[in-house]
Amino acid sequence: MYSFPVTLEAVTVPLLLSLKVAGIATFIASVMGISVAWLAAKRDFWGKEVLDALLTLPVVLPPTVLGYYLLVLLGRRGPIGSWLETYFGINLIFTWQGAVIAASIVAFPLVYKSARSAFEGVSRRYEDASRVLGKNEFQVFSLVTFPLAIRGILAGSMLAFARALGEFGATLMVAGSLPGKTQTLSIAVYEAVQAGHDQVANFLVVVTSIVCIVVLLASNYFLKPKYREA
Amino acid sequence: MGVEVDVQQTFRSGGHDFSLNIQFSCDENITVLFGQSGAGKSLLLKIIAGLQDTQTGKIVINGRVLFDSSEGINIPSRYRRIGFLFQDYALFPHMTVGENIGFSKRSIFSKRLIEKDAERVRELLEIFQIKDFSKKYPSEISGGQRQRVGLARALLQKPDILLLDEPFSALDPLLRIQMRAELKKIQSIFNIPILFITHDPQDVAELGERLVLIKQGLVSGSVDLSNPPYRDSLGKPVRPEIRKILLSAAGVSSA
Repeated sequence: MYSFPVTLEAVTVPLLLSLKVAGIATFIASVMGISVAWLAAKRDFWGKEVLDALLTLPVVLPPTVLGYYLLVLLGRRGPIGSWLETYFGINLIFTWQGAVIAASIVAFPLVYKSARSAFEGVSRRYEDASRVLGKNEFQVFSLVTFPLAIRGILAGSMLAFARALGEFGATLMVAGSLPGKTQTLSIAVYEAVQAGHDQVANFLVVVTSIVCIVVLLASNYFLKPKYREA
Repeated sequence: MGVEVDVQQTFRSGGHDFSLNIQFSCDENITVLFGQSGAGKSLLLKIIAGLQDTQTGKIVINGRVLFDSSEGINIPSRYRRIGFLFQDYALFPHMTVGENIGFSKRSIFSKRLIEKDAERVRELLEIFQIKDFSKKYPSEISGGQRQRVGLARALLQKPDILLLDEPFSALDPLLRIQMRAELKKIQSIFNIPILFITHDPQDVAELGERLVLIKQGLVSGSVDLSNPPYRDSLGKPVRPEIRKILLSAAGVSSA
């Protein structure tokens, strides 16, 4: 077995791309996940549980199925893709932005589920107390509900980041594997193994594992409650 | 001064209907709403505070209409100027005692208060003798101290009335006696009407000036306790008399 020299770039380029894609995807998934989770936890509306099931779907669907849906929607002839193309001249397929969308959708349920249970864990008494103390709904959210739920939400965001970092199937179908452009860490591992570049693969695998372990440790830290209820 | 309440509301939970139909008015310093658990007392307080929707009725406090279904008036909780003490005080666990008390005056950006409000927080810490705990979190102080924090927090925004939801039920019997005396003192210091609910006859005997009896969502009696024969010449409540009322209200024939 011959060894292929590991260049620094073979690791840093996909690593940085992965961090960029996963970072932006986590941000998008968090903003949307927190908003929908608040609605689901604190308000009643028709079809809430059906919506919950639909939003959780990306966790259980095979990533390739998800990727296929995205291709159909975002592709040149897809309803969203053709609209973006004609009005904005944007094409998302085979771009890193496409990878961000795939990763956001895969990561979304992790934030949504954690944030929903974190919000549901904030007792209504605290929110009612701040209402009678003169606060409007936005102030109630930012002073009481959100701070009391923040640790659960952060834990969810951490998991979402780890999941986005490891995204493979949907990303590959939507963004492909263009080195330096859309080839993320997990895809680079696959390509390296396929090409027999074992040293590159080893290196990428170790780096990915370390990043994921750090993220999980951080997530566990946030899940530990900081305040005791009185 | 005075409280006028007239509310009707039907709740449905688990296939059972529960109707609340309460009318009473009072202008005493301390009014006690007495009734068994499940009589609708807590619900009534939430309705007065605007934390629970009502179908029809009218709520007037010190001449200010808070709710009037016939006029379409329904002032949101945050503008009702009501001091509310929750049964377990609902102190914010992520804020210190001082931050809890200052809560109604803080902005969303900073926990710092303007000097006038900070001064009032210091005053309240002094009056309630909790100055030493102002940097502690609610989980680090005792039940009686928590209750003081809850009262101080409610009083900071100078409410028109104090509503207390079973204020002494979470305290041990000895502390209860002390906190009743404190509540009486607070009432006279702040000169604020208090409306509180309880199912402890002792609370009625020691604090009540007006007793409103609530049974299965209805008012079953309203008694003026400030005049004889319910108090002796020294102003001390005559317990057996009150006991008789409470027993008959509960459907037990008095001996």
